[in-house]
Amino acid sequence: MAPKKESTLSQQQQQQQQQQQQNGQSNGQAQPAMDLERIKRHFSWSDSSAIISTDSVMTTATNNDGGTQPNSVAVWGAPAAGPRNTQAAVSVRHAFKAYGKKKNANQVLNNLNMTVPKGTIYGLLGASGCGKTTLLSCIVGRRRMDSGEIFVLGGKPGTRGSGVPGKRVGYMPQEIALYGEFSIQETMMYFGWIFGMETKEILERLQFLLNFLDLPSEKRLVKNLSGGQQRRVSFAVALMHDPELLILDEPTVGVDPLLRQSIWNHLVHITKAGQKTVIITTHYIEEARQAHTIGLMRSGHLLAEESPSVLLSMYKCISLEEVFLKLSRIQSQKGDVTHVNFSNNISLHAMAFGSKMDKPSSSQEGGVVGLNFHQSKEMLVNDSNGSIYTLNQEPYSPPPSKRQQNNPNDEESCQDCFADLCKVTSKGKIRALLTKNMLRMWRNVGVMLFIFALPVMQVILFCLAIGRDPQGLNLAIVNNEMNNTDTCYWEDGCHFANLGCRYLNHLNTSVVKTYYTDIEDAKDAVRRGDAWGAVYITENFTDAFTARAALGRDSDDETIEQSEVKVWLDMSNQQIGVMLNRDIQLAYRDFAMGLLGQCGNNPKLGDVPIQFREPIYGTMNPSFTDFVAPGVILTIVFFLAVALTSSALIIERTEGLLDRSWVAGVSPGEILFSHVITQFVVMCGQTALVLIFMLVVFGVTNNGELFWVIVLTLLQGMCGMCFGFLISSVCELERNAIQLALGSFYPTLLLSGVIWPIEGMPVVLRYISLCLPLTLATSSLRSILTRGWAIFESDVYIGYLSTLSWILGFLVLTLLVLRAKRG
Amino acid sequence: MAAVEVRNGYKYYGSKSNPKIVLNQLNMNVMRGSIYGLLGASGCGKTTLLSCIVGQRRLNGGEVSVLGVKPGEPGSGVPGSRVGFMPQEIALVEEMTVKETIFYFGRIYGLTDEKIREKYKLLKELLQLPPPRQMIKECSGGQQRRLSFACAMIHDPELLILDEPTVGLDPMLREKIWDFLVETTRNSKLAVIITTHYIEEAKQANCIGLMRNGVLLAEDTPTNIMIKFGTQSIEDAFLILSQRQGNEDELPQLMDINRNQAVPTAMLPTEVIDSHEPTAAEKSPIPFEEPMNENRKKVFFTTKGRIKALMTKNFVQLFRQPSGIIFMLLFPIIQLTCFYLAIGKTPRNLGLGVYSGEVDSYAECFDDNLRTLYQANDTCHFNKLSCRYIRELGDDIAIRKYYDTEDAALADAKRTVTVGYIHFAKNFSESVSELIEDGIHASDGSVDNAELTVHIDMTDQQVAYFMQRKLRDKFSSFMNKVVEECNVSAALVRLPVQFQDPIYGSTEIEFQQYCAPGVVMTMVFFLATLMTAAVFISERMDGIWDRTLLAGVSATEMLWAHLLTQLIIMSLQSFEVIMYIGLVFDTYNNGDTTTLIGLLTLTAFCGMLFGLFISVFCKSHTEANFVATGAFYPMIILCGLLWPLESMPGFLQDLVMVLPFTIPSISARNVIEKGWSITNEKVYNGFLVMSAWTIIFFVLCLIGIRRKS
Repeated sequence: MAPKKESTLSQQQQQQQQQQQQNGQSNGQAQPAMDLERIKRHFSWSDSSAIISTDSVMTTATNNDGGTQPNSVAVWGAPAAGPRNTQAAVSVRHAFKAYGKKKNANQVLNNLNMTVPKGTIYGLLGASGCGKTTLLSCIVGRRRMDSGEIFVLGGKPGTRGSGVPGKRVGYMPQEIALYGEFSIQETMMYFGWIFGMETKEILERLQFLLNFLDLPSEKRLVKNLSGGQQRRVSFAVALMHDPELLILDEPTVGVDPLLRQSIWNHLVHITKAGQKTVIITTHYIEEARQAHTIGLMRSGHLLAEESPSVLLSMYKCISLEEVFLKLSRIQSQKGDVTHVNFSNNISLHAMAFGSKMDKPSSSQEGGVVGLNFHQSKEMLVNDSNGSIYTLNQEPYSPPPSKRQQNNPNDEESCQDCFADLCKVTSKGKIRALLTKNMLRMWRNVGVMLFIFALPVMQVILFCLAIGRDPQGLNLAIVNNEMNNTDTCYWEDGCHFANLGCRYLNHLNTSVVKTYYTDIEDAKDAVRRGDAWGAVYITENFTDAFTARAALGRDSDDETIEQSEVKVWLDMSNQQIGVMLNRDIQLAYRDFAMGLLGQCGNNPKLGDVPIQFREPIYGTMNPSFTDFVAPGVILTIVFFLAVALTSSALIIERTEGLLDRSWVAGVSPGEILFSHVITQFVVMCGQTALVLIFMLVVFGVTNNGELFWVIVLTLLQGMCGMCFGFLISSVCELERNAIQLALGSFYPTLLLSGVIWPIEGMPVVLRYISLCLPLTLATSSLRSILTRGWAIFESDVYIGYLSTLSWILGFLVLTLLVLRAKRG
Repeated sequence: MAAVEVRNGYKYYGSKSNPKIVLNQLNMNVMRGSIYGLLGASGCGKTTLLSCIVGQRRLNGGEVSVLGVKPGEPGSGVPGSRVGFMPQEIALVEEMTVKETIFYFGRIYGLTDEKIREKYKLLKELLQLPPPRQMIKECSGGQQRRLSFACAMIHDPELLILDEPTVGLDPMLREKIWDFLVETTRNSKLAVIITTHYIEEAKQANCIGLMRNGVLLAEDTPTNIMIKFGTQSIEDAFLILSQRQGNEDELPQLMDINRNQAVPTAMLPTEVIDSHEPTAAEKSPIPFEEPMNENRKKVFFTTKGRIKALMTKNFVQLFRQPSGIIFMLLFPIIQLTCFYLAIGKTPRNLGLGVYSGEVDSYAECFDDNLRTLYQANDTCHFNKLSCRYIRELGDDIAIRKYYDTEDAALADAKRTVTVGYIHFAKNFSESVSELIEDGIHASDGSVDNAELTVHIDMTDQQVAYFMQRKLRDKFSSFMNKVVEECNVSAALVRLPVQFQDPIYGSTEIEFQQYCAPGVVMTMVFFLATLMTAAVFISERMDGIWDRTLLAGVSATEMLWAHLLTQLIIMSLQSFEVIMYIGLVFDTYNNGDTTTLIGLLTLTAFCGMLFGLFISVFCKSHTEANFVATGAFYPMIILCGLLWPLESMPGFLQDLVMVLPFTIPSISARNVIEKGWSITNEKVYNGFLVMSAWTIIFFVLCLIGIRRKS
């Protein structure tokens, strides 16, 4: 009974909240369970001026409770009088966040409430894994909570005009999250530009920060700095634009005591004016003494939120460490929980927040709490210390229908992202991002080699190694007309002597002739693999040949037999075998035609009676290179783009700079756009290199318009880029991405008709092949290069169309994957 | 007695001329049965100091003695079973279960399974370890840390080194660990070195050393330090010390000044401590002799256990990664299928235009009553001979398409509806007849008209050559038949070049048969490479590498363990590939199948070593992948797999002979097509080249791994 009631209640609450958010100050009194206080709270959430009042009450109440502030009793709704407590910089209400699948969710934030007054330092303490980082990323709008409310600097993070993420917050993540290849100055320029600062302004600020944080010369590369210096640079980046809210995630971990002190001094200094707010997380509890307020966090919610001195006196401890230990113990022990809960409620929420109201009634509470306890225990089976989960939370169960509830939110956010995409980004941001991409490539020798040397090397190797006619093939020749002499003499003109030698002379081009005296020896040489074939000419070849020509149809079998050149080939190597076969036939043709011509007969008599006339396209002597070249050009450009883009985005993600830029207000769309531009420039270079080497240096035939060749190559590069985007959105790790890219490369190469005509495939496979991104484009490029076709031929423009549709397809898929991941 | 003694420890990174000093004349004493807290910011040299203590790195100057021996000496048990080390990161294999992890470390330390079980039961209670079947990646951070701690304790070491064991831990757990340590050291001779940058928690240590910029600023009991500097907390004391040192921070003469300054401060407390426990130092030598010998024995007798542990780990790691297995098993199949289906088959369903001037309607040609040949007296008369050729041609080579005008045929060929067209002259039959009758004396016109004229699209070289060859073959067989029926000698129409049955192979050989050996070999090679290229890198990144090294396992042993594991996987993969080729695609083989399998296995083995070689020398996955890919492309293009070697420029030909595939793929072709046995020079050559590469890679691996460790 009780839980059901509870859940319906909370559902109502949620609905109500939403209604109210949408309708402004509308009805709330229809709900029977509502009381005045809650309505007020809802009201206050719906307009910003009310926030001020609410939160101010909260903070003054807090301070009041702790006795640190002279300001006495706060009155509900009255503006606060404290010098720095005019407004809450950050307020989090009923935050829930779980990772993992719904069934086996890992609850990270569990009904967390937090208030950071403006102009103070807030120390957020807790062990690693307790949800600190998640909470911070929700505050800066990097992640979305499952439910609950966050207000940062008066707006909801992630909405337009809130400035969060953006210029108003400075964020220093736990890791260094800087590009090692940048110098200090470049790093500062990058972030400065993103924040829309003038270069001069940046340099001034840089000089100040260098002095202040005792950094070495601004020319030094970040990767050459010591750990402490890197951390200071990271800190400097967060301070760069003088933000209103500074969020520091473990800035002092492993930092030299002197530096730590100077960091704290600076923080105290900047908050003094009352305009800046600092949230600092640490698990180094003692240093937080200097903070104005500290929140002790454990297993997804705050155990206490108080000023340090109050905590110390309240729990009668000497060190905050002990306080935390005590609180943790209390949290683990069920019996004492109510007490803590109680005291916390009093101290934290005082009268301002209707915690009382969140518990329907004390009689029901027992049951509800018990149930909650079980649920949460299930959720936290994996929790670190196996401690019994707390009852400290207010029995505010997460809304059962998250999906439904989130739907309007999702739509809203989507409109945002579309708006983001459409919105023209600031010039500074794009400039910063582009400079960053270029610099990173420039500084990274390996990548540069990969980008420019690899395609050139591939093209050179390809042109040298593939497609030429084999040279220097060994032929074992037995010419019995030579009478065991080494000389093979013959006369030009119409002489019928030593015709065998005359024939063999025509075989000159590609073969190396080795003479044997016995045909069996010659065949053995072939068997041993010393020669690719044996050619046998009988001792009276000349006579028989003459007789055959003279007698025509009347020649006898023996003459015919003797007049023939016999050939035994080694066909184990298809390419060589077929080529030798052709060459030997052609040599005979040349020989016969020459002889007949010089003897005044029609040379055609000696020709094979099948005449290959001038080809429709191409040359009489087509080269394999010309056939493969278009495919190779496209494959190189396509897959280099895949490799570069997929790794670039993932590196960006893993290095942590993405988070940082995100908080600085750069949208994913802008990052994507900057990568597209960078990649495009790189691709142009690659295309130029590949085409120059192919067409100019190695002289691959091009009969078509160069312009369309370039366009198609670039389009294929774009296509590869989009495929790279898809891979990088699917894969979390760079490793997997490269595996996927490599894995897809080989089948695509084999199936796209690059090496072998697709007519050689089984019919079903041929249709599959046509669906691959490279197939149609390759044949289209081939048509342009070898046939010289123009764009309006269907075989040509279909290649462009298929490439374009693949680009589109990849983009849509990428967006879908990103969507799915975010949701 | 001191468990650890460092005297004038000096260590720098980088070159001698421009050294980055990490340890600067450092002195340190750790007593048995005590906890030593080593405090300092990150980057101050703590981790370097520890790695010198466990023998992982060597000092550039000064002396270290650990448990009475010099670390790194053979048989010293350091690194090995006498020390336990818990690194900062978790450094456990994520895919293993809790129990497997415990057993892994137990076996590496040379404990019997029974003893491990016993110990596990004990530690499980003590540290509240998660259930034995739970995977490490499913454990929470705290659980992982406790397990990591348990692994360092499993073998009852004499010296326990904990690198930031409490970082980011829940306060409750932290307290528990400290309680446990205090308890254990009190009751045993165990010495504990614990680093932390939570300075306050070190209060419970018996002795603390404050370290900064490679120098111990102070070494004393916590209370002494606080008293000495008159502060409430160690934190403040550290701050004062730092400030004192602070100004000389960046100066080049740092070393000298620090030596003057730091040594006295460090020496003083050292003496104090020494005087605290003089008795321990005196009585220790005798009782500690025994366990040392025992340890030595262990080292010699448990290689089997270690290999077992390492291999279990490798397999578990491999098989718990579903994507890895899929990649391993499916990828070769996909690739082979693609290759066998798509490459090198005879082109089919080509279109061929046919235009015959002497035929009015092509239906005529297929009329069975049509007689093309009349024999009268000694002469043959032909009628619509072209029909005979058209029929002979059939649709096997290409699908015939008939045209009534040459222009239409040409137009279709231009639009590539057909590959090309054949053209018979109007008086083809008569001309052929005349040619046969008059031979050499036939008129020029009839010689021209007796020819079959062909126009082909030559842009697709493979297709064009194929068409040419087929048309020629068909034409000569057609002519032969015609003259035979006319009772005229075939010599008239036959080219006087006679191709006998090929010595090897067949006249119908396909491109696929030519490139299959090379493709299969490169595939096997690079699959093995991809599989292994990541192993050491992942291991190093996880930290499990260092941890295992510190457990006294040598890098060579790990190399062997990986070699064995990969060998098994690789044989599976080769078997799969061979079965797939043999059964599914039913490729013929004229030679000995065992020889081929042998060669393939050797190739895979070589690929595997190449992978290991990459993973030894590359620092990151990206680098490894780039190297593997970079090696892959040139190899495929250069090894004569797609195109005969003979077509390369001379210098390139000599160069590529050295590559691992060139000669072996020729060997494979020789076996398959020529049926040669392994005794033939041109077959065993391939084996020799492959073995040579295998040995080279192996030696390089060994060298690399020695140098790294």
